[in-house]
Parts: sequence; structure tokens; C-alpha cells
Amino acid sequence: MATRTVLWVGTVKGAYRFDSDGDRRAWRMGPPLLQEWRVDAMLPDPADPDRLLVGTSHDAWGATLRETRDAGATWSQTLLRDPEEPAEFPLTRVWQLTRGGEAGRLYAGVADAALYASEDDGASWREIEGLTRHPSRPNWHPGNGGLCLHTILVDPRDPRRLWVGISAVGVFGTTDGGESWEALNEGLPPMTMTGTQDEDAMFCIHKIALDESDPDRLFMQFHAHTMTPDGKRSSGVFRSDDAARTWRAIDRDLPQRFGFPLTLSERGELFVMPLVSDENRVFDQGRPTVWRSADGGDAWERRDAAPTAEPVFAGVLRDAMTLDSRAPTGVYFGTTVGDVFASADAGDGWQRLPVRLPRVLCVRAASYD
Amino acid sequence: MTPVVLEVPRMLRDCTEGRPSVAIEADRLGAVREAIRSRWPLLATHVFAESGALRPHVLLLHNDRLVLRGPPDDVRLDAGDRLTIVQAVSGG
Repeated sequence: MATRTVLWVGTVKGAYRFDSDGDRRAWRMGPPLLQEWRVDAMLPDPADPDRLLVGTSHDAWGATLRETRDAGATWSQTLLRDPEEPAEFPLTRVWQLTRGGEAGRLYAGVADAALYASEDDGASWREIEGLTRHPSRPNWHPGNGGLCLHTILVDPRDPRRLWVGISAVGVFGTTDGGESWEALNEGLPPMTMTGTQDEDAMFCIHKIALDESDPDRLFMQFHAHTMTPDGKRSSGVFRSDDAARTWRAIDRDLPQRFGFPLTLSERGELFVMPLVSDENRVFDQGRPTVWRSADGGDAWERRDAAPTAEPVFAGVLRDAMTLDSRAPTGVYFGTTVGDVFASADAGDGWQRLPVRLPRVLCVRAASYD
Repeated sequence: MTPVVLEVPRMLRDCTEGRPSVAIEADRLGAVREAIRSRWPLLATHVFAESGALRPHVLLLHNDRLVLRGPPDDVRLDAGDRLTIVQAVSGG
């Protein structure tokens, strides 16, 4: 049984590590790491608390992967691409790092949207070209954050079955390990503002989560865009019960539909963090609020992360909320103004960690014996 | 080939085993990219875009003089010349 949790926070200027005590109430912050680099994605090692793989980038110097095995004292760099080989599109950021369901297999999702795989624990990488060569690719349009592949989900029963989310394009799934891909967006409102008429590539997916106990069930935070001149908005939170073949809205009881992160615990608790709207991407009334559903999105409960604190007119980005694997579930998020919040009881009670960091891009937690 | 000195910015020195400058061999400016790429591929990835051009916010100085982004691939390099990689001043 896990007795401590390590929380990693990636920001526009560096990464930060927080170590908890046994009950996740007290947190000790480590020294800033990689301070001159944007830390876009992080993947902690489930067996080694001092080992971390990150995607870093810089406006001048570009993007690579870095790994530490000594809690950030030293780092090594790895290239996703062979610089000798011609590239058809730029690699500007690593948006997502995920384990691939087989020993040594990792996936990296990047911008411009592409999927890379490693079979040797990150030492070398190859592009999954079946996705890049999808016939809809010429019609893929970027969202505000770029043309990014930001979500990678692997079926725990069958590692050849994957889903990816690309903004502002849509969901793609494969059942053959990435050789062939199918667009899986039925039931989602099309994003006509992207200017494409390609029905495989006009959906602004913000985040998707997979129910690992029932891998035909997925949840999605969608863009929830304004659809009409008088401000009618599309739905924002969706569920699929047929492996992403069809989606239905589950946000009827949410006060706002726009948001970025969506996370699902091992116990089936679903968490979202709605923001006011597409046009105003901040917490409603300056209150950082998590909405939790214990029944797959049929009913939602509101949990205020800072009910008595001063208002925070900020937002949360798509990878800046995460969960740990302990019971009760630990919930963590970082804001666009650098606050970090932690809950040790599935969102019922919260603390703001005593620090203000640069803009938070990603948060990851791992628990250890 | 002509031995020249390549000065590396602090942020990229993990690409050159911690060295602030490295020796490369190139007889003209147009050959610098290939010289970096063959010996220091990580550094090349940070300095050059996929097109082969310098990244948009990266500058190259030749003996303290700015190398303009387009033409002078045929500028001759002499032994001991200094090439310096710097981040361009960008933003406000």
C-alpha cells in the first residue's frame, strides 16, 4: 500500500517537485528544475520516485525529451526524430507522454500533431506513420495551443487498441497498434469555426479519459464553443459507452460547459473544472471549482477548492489536473497564475500549496511505498 | 577542411558535454550546419529548424558579425574563425 506521493508540476519556466507526508497533508517542495525550459509534459516512473521523463521546449531552441534518474540533479536528452531524416512538419512541443501497456513501451504525442512510440523505455523513438497519413490530415487545423496531439489512451486489455485526441481535429482510434486509424467523433458538435468541412477533422477535443475497468467507456471534455450569434453554446462534457464510436452529452447539470482538464479515478470518480466560457477562460466568479461525478456523469457535485480565499480569475489547462492512485483519491491542479491546489479526499477538502509558480502547464502525481 | 571554433550558449551546453565551445571543421558558412549535425546532433536539433535554416529566434555570429539568414553560404571560413550561436532578442 502506497505511503507517500510525489507531485510534479510543469510550468512555462521549469518543473517543481513536491513530496508529501503519509496522509498527503504536508508537502515539501524541492529545488526548481530545468528553469529556463518550458515543461510541457511529464511522465513519472511508477517504481522509482526519482526518475522522470519530460517534454521540454523553448521558443528559440525547440523541443526535445529529457530524463532524470536522480530527482533532477542531472538530465539526459533524447531526440524523437533522427535529424538526418527529412521531416514533413515541425516538431514544436511534446504534449503528452504515456505508458503503452507493454514492458518498455512509451508513447509521445506532439505538435504538429503526430504520435511517436518507444519500445525501449524512451531510449529511441519511431513515428506511428499510420496516424500521420490519415486521409483527413490535409484538413487538420490547429486550436489556440497549436495543432497538438494531447491525449493518448491505451486499452489495458489489449495494447494494440489506442485512442488519441488532437486539437482542433478530433478523436482517432486504432485496433491494430497504429497501422490504421478511424475518426471517432459521432455525436460531437462540429467546430465550423476551424474552416474545414471534413467530418473527420473538425472537432476541438480538450481531454479524454478512459475507464480502465470498462475500456469501452470514455469521457471527454470538449471545447463547448459558441454556436450562434446570440451565444448558444454546444455541450462540453461527453461520454461514450461504445469505445468512442458515439458520444452523448453528460453536462446538463453543470453550470458552465467550457473547460480543459477531465480526469477519472480508479474508483470511477470523474472530475472536471468548468471555466466561464470559450471567450472568458477563467473560474466563474473567481472561484476555483471542481465538479465531481460518481455515476459516470449523470449527477455532479460541486467542490470549491478555495471557498474562503481571495478570488482567482485564472484557469486550468488541459494537463494541469491529475489524480493519484491512493484511497481516498488525491486530486491536484495548477492554475494559469501558478497556484497549486491539493486534495487528499477526492475533492472534499483542499489546500493551496504555499508557493506561486510560473503558469502551470501540467501536473502529475505518483505514489510509492 | 578548416578548423573553426563554435561557441555554444549556456542553455545548450548539455548538447556538447558541457563545453562552452567546440571545434568543428567547415571551410565555408554553408558547411557549418552539416558539421554541427554530424558531430553534435542534439545541438543541431536546437539550432536548426526542420527546413535546415536557423530556427526563427536563433542567430549565428561569424567573428562577432551577424550572419544574415539567407545567402552567404559561400562565405569562406579561415582557421581559427569564431562562430557564435546566440538567441535573438525577441519580444518586449
